[in-house]
Amino acid sequence: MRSLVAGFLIVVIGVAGLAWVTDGFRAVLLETARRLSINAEHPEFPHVLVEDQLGIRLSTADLRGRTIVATFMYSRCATLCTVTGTDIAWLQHSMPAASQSQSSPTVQWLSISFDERDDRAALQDYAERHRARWPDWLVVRIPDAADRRRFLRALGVVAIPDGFGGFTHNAALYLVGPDGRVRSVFDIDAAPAVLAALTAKP
Amino acid sequence: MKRLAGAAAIWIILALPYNRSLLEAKLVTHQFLQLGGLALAGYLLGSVLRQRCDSIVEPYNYRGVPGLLLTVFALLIWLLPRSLDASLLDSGWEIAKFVTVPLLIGLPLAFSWPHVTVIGRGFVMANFAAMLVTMGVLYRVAPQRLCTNYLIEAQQSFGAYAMAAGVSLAIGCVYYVLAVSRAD
Repeated sequence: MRSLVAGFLIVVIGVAGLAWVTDGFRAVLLETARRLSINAEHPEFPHVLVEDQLGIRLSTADLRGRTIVATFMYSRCATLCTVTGTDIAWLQHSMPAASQSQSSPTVQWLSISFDERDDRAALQDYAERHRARWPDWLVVRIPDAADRRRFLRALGVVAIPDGFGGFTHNAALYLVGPDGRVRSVFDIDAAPAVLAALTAKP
Repeated sequence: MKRLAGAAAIWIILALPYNRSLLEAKLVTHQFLQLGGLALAGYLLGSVLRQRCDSIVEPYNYRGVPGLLLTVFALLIWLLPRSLDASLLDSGWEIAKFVTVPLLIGLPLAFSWPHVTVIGRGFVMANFAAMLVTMGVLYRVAPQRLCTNYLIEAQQSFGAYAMAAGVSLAIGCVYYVLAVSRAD
């Protein structure tokens, strides 16, 4: 009888533990958990000093008041980052003409490099390859190493060396509202969903 | 006493920062050597404690079933890619790993295994072997990265090792039943 109670208790606690670790059986992967948490808690887009493709320094806090579509990349990347660049180009062209013709564009496109080796020339090169038009589309790096780590950590971006001089990283599109909070995270192949979220805005 | 010293030695060796990053650099060594070693340390500790206080625990651990359940649930949690991944990014998760893997996986196993019936042992072993093979196949064929901290090549190689471990365990069990235990 005592063993039955003990066994029953262990099952109850075990299932509760599993539920807790998996966010209610929704996330087996850390990447899923990260997106669930961002989409539910809408953390603040971290304030950090960046330098854009023209070498102009600004804070991400300066971008407040505009909707930001942000991605992470490193300029040498030949795979995922090219896709995220293409995503932004596609989104930019697909946005209704009204929002583009205004004197101040409502959407700020932002490509953020996490590679310390990326200098201004590398950013410029990336910007040219993707036809990123300044200042609508800023290609930036985070000059300070501590800032960079803090920023990536806050958004759950993990980049690991791929053994060939490049990185493997969890690419995604981040939609940040004018209030400076991350509204949601999208897969890189979900650009149409980003467009829907952008145009649904009143 | 020897087993107690062994348990402490294994735990300390695994906890040294150099060894931690060495074993955590690869998914295979992270799961098999680090998790396996931590569970072994807990098992050794449990086998010493069992000699002293099994009479207190046994009434709550009929045929070792409740203890085995504890081992299984704790193992399930630590086999999730999410938990392993988090232990690499978050020191809270890392500490939890070094505490709960010995105390909730290895230790209850040591308290329970001697009480488990032959059929029960066969059931556990067969399921563990099948789980390792299934997990190995999943890791090999998954098209996406399961851990943000490991490359896809690392998870595919882990899958191969897990399949090999499961098959070896199954062969070992068959050999034990047909050759060793039959000869007794």
